[in-house]
Amino acid sequence: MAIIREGSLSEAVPGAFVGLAAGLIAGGLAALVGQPLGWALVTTVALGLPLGAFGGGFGLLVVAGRLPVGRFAPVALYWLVAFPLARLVHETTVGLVLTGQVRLPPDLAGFLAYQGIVSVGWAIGFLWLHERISVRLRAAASR
Amino acid sequence: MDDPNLVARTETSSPPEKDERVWAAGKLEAMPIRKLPDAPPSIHLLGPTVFLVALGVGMGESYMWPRLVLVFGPDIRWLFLIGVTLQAVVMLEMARYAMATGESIFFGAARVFKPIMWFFFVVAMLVYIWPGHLSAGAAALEKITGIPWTVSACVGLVLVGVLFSLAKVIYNLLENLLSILIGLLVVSTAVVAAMVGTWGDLTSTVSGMFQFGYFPAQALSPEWFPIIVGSIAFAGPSGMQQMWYTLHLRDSGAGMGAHIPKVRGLRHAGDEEKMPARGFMFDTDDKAELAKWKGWRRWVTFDALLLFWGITMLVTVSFTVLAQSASRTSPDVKALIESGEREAALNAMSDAFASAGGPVLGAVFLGFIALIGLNATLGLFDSFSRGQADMTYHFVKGAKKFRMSHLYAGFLWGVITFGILILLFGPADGPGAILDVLAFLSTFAMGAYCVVLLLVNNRMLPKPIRPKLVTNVIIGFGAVFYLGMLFFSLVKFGVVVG
Repeated sequence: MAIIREGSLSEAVPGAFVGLAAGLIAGGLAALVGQPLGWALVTTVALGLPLGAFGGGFGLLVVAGRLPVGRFAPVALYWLVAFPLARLVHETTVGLVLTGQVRLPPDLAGFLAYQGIVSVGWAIGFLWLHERISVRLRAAASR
Repeated sequence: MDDPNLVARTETSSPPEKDERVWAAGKLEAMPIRKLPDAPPSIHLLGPTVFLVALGVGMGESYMWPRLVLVFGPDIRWLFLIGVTLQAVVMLEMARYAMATGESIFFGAARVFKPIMWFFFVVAMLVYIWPGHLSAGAAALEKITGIPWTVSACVGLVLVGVLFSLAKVIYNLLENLLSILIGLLVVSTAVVAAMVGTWGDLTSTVSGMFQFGYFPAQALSPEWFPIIVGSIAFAGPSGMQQMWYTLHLRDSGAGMGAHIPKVRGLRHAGDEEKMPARGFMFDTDDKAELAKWKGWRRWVTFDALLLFWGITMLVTVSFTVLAQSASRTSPDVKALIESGEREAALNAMSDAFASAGGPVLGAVFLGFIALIGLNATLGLFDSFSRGQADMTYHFVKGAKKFRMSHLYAGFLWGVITFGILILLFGPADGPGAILDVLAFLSTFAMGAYCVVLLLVNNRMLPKPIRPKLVTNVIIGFGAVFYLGMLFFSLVKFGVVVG
């Protein structure tokens, strides 16, 4: 099994940042237009944390050699699984906070399939920002 | 910071030496043979395509096509698929000339016949000096923040000028800035579409792209046909945006562009190396050089397919899904959008999104429009100044007394000053009397650049790197498609484009 080397945890930063930023954007916009602060916070946390965790996990898998660098297909496959899961966590958490009950989306298969398709778009945006931030961090570290 | 995917630049302005091998193309100065730099890995996400995406993802994707889908149903989207796919091929062919020579497509056109280049110079001056493109984004910002749109537009114009004048290397600054903005746009679009859309909306939107030949009778009416022609022209980059992409490719150091100095901000103009009087060619008889060339073609193909085609599709599919979702919740949105006035329709779409997905969605929609407007404005001002400065420097007598950066700054501040004056005292889109002429020229330029591409790539490049027959057929189809639709609309309905 590949070992995550010392210091490689920093490789998780760009992906985690992109995921958290997505949650923050969703929650921030909710707050901006006058949604209750609690609702905005739930969206920020319930979407940002899973996306951030999966984003960070992506960086760790790359550094451990489990995901090849420089190809789009593995990234898209990774998010094909991770993005619908993150959205499922988001939906159920928001439902739990608002209604006090754990409820899955009514058409679970359709929900996951739709999120799976959207994940390809997310994967492009994720990789785009991830690469940009990684380059910046590497440049800063080498200075 | 230089683009890490690209190799370090080599010497730049060395003139051809005596008995040096050259490639003679047209009647202008022959291109000296230089080494082609090694290509970066084909899979990458940093590069000049960000400019094309910033310019190309605009009103066509966020407003015009969702509107057509609401009016004619998702099946009309096969025309969008054709439009964007055609633009991806055009992008690859623009890149062929720019990467092989380090020259812009304008320079290539001049090698074929100088008046063709001057035609594009004049079209750019006529079409792109009007600040109307600022209005949609600034109006969206006004809806969110309450700041009058002319104020934010004027402040934005001055900020853009100052930013570009202070930059050490304009390309690097703008690539970094646009990359972050486009990245945010893509990520946010995906997240919002994930929260609001449904499987049914998505499948109908996507399957509609493959209903080739669907054309309802209403679409052939004098009211709608010109709008459809305009929407096809606005699918992806429109007008001269693809031509400017060759200048960004060159400044990114792609292919033989590595031998050309970068344009600097006014404050650092003195640091600019001397600009050579023409581009360079690599040795196409050398197998090792041809192997490197294939690497560069793979590099740009990835850009064209995943970044350009993929992101354009993602944004427009997402907006269409949102529009469908909105029209289901508020059936009157369809009538409002059909009525045609852009700002009213954008606000109607925003309101419909708000009723479909809560107020957050209405603001998100307007936020996207503002972001798209900002991207387009940043890209457009830079591109316009870059293109005009390039043509002036090389083809106006006495212009070489100045540096390219000075000419760039001159055009930039010229268009900014004119823009502010027009925003304050004149018609933002241009005088009403010539609006049709401007719309005609913008679409005509697209057909014209397809013809230029055929001429330049098949006559000005060495045989081993000329396009294949199938590529020529597609570009030829593009010329017939744009010009044919434009003239059909003009002759049949007496209207240019909507």
